[in-house]
Amino acid sequence: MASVYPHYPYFYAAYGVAALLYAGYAISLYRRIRALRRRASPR
Amino acid sequence: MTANIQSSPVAMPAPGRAVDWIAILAAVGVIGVFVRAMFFTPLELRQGAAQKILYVHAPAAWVAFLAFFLVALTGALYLWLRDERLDRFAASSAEVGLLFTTVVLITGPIWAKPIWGTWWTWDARLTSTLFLWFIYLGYLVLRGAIDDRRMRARYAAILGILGAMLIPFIHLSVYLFRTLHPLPVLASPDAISGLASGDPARRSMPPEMLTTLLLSIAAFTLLYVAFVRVRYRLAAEQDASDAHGAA
Repeated sequence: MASVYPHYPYFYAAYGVAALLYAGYAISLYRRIRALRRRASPR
Repeated sequence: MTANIQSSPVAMPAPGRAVDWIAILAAVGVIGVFVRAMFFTPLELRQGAAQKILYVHAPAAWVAFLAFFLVALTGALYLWLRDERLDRFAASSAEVGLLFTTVVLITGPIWAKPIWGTWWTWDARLTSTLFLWFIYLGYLVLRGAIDDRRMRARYAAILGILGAMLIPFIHLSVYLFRTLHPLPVLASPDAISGLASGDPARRSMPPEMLTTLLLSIAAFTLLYVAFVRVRYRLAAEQDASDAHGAA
């Protein structure tokens, strides 16, 4: 049954923000590990 | 045993991969949940697509509670055993828990606006969740402010334990106070008995929605495990690097 108020923009906004936060944190972890290893073994 | 762990030098961990198979499985699971929520889960009659925010909001809240409970548990164990691995785990879980609480605090208002007509209201559930966020933000700030590892671990363990005491209050706040926030659809005796009864009139949600919710809880719990594993590895390497620098 179709909804009277679909509210898709809110659905996309919530999922989009959550995805950005999770992806951003994953990237930050990767960058922090890479920076630490670079400092630990300077060429 | 405790003394051995305390005094043992921190071995440089093996340079493991930054991304492991659990992380890949978690990412696939989260994407799968999005696809299922989007295309294979029915729309709720009155809320429409806004109700589907449940599948990212509620699992994030569950993971945040789990993360902070584990911060308190490992903090208490650290105070007893003085094992640095417990402190590392607590720090990792607190950081990841703060991420998931941030997701809760952002997706909640996005859901609230079309349904309640307001982004935010200072009711007990929302306000206490915001306080939880501030407490664990303070936990991370505290850790960053203390150089001495043992003192940092001890103070952080105490704050981690005290902060987790908010969790039962947040869960029960919808019963203790008049709030706009709905009652639990899963984590309450009434909800569980209604779902188990098979009676459509007593169910808090239809089976298709329940399956999506359970899958999303599993996927985001796996994501928590993946994040904590990598964050723990970072903390271990940081400690090893500090120990080598000090030597």
